[in-house]
Amino acid sequence: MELKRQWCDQPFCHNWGQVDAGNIQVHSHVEQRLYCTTCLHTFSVDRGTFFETLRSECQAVLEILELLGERNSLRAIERLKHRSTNTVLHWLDLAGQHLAAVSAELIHDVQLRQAQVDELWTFVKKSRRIVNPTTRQTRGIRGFGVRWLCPVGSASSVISARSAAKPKPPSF
Amino acid sequence: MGRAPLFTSDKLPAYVKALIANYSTPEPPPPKRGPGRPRKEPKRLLDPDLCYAQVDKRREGGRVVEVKRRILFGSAEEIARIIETDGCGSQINTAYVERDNLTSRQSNGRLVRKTLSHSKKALFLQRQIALEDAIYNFVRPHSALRVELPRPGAHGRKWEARTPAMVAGLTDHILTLEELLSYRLAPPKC
Repeated sequence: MELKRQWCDQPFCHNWGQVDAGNIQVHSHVEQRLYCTTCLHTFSVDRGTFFETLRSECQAVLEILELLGERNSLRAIERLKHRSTNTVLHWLDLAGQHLAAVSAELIHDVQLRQAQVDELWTFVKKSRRIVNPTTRQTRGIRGFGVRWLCPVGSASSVISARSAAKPKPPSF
Repeated sequence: MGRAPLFTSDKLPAYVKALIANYSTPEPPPPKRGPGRPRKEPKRLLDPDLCYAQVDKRREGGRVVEVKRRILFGSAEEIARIIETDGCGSQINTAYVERDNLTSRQSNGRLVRKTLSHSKKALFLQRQIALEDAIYNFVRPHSALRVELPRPGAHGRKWEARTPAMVAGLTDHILTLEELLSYRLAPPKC
């Protein structure tokens, strides 16, 4: 277990907040716990990290975050890894907060000779348009070949199912 | 803060204000004040080392037809010397940051143009950008930053891959995402 950068977070401890002060030792390799030799308080090795509050397997979470870092969409990850979108978003929220703090701590006193500055255009948008029931129904089957309409079976039954689902033109 | 770097940007006026706010000091008040109302805000003395140039591109029909380069702070000789020393192009440019924007758009699904994958909440856009930035700086080796090994390494390896953080002297090896996420932050300063 890595003892570097560990510190005791008990407010009453004399070594509170002292990084690499030599007061942190391994309490249990099996339980992955450390302890402070000053106040004898034990704590998890994941204290103060992204993994502190995670209940899922670390490797699975890491794979999903790596997929997010390679331009994969939430829905793609949901389909590939069988995790709900909200779960992935929760991990992204935790990871983003932690990594922003880590970057802020690690990146300092960088001696730059040149700096190029630019803007990056993007937008945040949530469609809130209210649609009437007719429009909603039309939008739902507009694809005509959308996959959720296809029953399991032969190709002919798929075609018939698609043909049967062909909507009438909406009347406004 | 060390010496001010050479700044280059496009012609957005906000950059000039930001640079003046960050690289200037308030002028000390005169020892003997004359008649009249004193200034509400003192004059600011600009850092003499600050160099700043703008690249103004004019487009017609979506294509760049003219590029103007303007030096706002610093001398042309000093800027030419810095560009020549660093080897980042032969003239004032913003090519590197434009390339970085493209890398961001390639690495971050929320920044891809002309798709439906844009963010619906600003919070998650911030989080994704933080994730992408950390991976770019600490995890992913940059092919332009590799250095040739003095002797071939294992399996005939001739090059040592490096991340931007390694080149900046912030880390000594290529970090993994797990290392970054396991990094314990320093205690808050009281």
